[in-house]
Amino acid sequence: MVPFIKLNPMLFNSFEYLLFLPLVLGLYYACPNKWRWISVFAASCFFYMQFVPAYIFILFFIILLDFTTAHIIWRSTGLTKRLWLIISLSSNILLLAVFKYAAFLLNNIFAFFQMVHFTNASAPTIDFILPIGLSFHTFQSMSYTMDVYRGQQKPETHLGYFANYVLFFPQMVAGPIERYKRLGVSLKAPQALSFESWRAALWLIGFGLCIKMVIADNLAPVVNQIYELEQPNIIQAWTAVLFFSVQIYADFFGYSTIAIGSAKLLGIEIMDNFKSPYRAASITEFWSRWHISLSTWFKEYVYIPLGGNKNRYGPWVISILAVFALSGFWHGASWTFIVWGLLHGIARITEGRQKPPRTIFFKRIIIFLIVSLFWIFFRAPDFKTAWVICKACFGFTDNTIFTNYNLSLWFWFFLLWLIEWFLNDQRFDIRMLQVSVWKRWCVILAMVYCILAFGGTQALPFIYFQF
Amino acid sequence: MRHVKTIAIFFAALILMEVLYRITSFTSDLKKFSPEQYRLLHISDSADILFFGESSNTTFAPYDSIPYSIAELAAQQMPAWRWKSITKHASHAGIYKQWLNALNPKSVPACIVITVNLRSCNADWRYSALEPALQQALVMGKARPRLLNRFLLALGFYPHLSERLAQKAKLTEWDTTCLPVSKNYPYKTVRAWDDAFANGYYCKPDGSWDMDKIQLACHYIKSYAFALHAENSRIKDLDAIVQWAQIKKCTLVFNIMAENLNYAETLVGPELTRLMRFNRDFIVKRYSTKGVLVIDHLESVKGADYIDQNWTTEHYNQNGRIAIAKKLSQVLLKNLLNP
Repeated sequence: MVPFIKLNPMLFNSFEYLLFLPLVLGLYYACPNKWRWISVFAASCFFYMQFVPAYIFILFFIILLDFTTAHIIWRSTGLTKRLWLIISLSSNILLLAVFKYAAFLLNNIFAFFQMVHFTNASAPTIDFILPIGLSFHTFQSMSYTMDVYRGQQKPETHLGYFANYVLFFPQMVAGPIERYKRLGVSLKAPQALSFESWRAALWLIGFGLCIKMVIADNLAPVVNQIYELEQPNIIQAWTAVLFFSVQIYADFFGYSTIAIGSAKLLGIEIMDNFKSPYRAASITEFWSRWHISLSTWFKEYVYIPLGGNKNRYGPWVISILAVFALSGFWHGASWTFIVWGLLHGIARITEGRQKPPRTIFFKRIIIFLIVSLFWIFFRAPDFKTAWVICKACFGFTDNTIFTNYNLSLWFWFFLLWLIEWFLNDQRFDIRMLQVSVWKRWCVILAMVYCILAFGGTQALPFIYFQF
Repeated sequence: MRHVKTIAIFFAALILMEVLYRITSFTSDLKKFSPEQYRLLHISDSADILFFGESSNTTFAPYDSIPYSIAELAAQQMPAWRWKSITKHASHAGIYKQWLNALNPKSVPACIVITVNLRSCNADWRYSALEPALQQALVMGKARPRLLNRFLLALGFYPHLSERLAQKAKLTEWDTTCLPVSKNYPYKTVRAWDDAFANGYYCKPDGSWDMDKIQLACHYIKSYAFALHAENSRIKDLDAIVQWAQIKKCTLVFNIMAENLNYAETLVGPELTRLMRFNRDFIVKRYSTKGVLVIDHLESVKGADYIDQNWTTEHYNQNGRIAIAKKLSQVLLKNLLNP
């Protein structure tokens, strides 16, 4: 039983958030500069406590732990310094292990014991509700202590600012996973807000809502429906695979864009998390465009410490596989996520260490299809479902009955590609400044009409909220 | 000044969008997301009697030879009257109240028949997992700009509790609400009553627990062990419906559905049937004095005529439906002026 149950996370695509944000802005700008951090802190706590209020203490624990250990690490040397880093990191990882991975680990340990006939007992049931966004804020907080350990970051002296770095509501539950040198500085010295930045922020929020509510939420029911079929046919399987590729991108990209827009309204800049990932012509390029904050986190704190590109071929292969498997495991406590990560790792290895050749259209399509097929393991709840979809994609299915899906749904699928073409590798607000006023108005009005008239009706939470 | 102009253009565009939406998509969206309200908009012109029901109206036994709903059977008894019915599974007074608001105000039928299902007043139904879907289906028909309704539908802006919260509210009610049972009866709350039966109340001859019987008894307790009062949300909804009918000057009928009292008594005991009768009497007394025609079918259907013998439902075979339709039409014929 979880104390103070509430369990209604405040979604960006909810009426509550559309009320919450203006209230926070009012409070924020009513406060003198010196005290604005308090309004951000209060708003972030309130935002987080819409889920399970008691879980705020987990965040307070992380904040106090990493704030304190960072200071000790900064003042220590040699073994003591390393010891405190280990204490900090292992505490964060322990939190993750308890809340996110305990059931998975126990199930696998007991399954192994049963396999070697050590015991017949089954794993104890663990019924924790996963704290929302736990993987994001633990990784963010860990990056801070590691930066302090490396001497790349001075420890923050103001607990309030550090708390806001871990808690900052626009990116708290699904990233981007920020570094202190960027978000911390921005939180301490927010930019003065001009008309241009307000406008850009509103554009970003509108754009994020549009792709989440219109594209992701309209495709999601079809994907869910097909993944529940016992034996989909080849058309259904490819529909699910292609739609999910677009759904997850629109969903996460939409979330990140709303987060950037919301932060911008407070004068705070957060990093871009996506750069047209489906324009990538290689898996390496895909990972430099998809969930950029997580990719760079793993690169800086896992891949490079393991030797990175300087490794000989054998260790390099192992380090790549380790990083991608960890990345998969970061997403969810399931073997399907690990396999998803490993598939990307293997694809990355086959590309070798050379920089990929310049982008060509045909290669982009191939990479999109490969990435889409890999998503099957990300989306499927278990291997059985993943295998069913995989087989059906290649025609190994007895189901040959043609199902007449609502073909208009493909409009939302292609809309994303139209948007990608419009964005031309740039962020929406920047791109909008490059087009004529007439075009800008057309885009804004089309976007608003789509949000108002065509939003998916299931009010689905963002996929990455569960991580 | 420039900004004022920009905002003015934006609002003008919003108005145009509302018009565009009404012309292009509203009807199909209403039909898709609120089919009952779509039908209501169109049928009230052609009905003298409008019947609102839930699954009890349209559930048939596989062996039935008469495939007519209660409303259809009653209509056959009253050929001079134009009947229309709207049926939606798991609906209740709160939903009917909203449906009435969707009626074309210029052509309100002479008589509205509201199905009153006693079980719909219990905590299990009030905090049911089906409630969000029922509430969602009402959004498009609200008296607001159509485009705003569509947007709020996408935002999930309608009254609903999460599944866990609803479960918690239900359990709290079962734990804490004292039932008006006899002084000496040992189980004063649903929880206590349910626990007593769940812990081996029925045993098989070999001494093992008769789980089928226990589960059914517990289900009867959770379904019927409650006492209606003015603060029950369903009663408040029925009050609102009465008020609506008084303003519209139309005849209102509350059709209390039959429940399997004999089986309830055999399985759980007379304390439970006493509560069921208490709830029926509450509705009859409260609304008869307010000008509502309350038709009591509570004990009108024989035990064998319930389709689901192993669950609590108001699903009747043709005999049950005919009995209810007959009584309903007789009361209406007696009380309504000619169309």
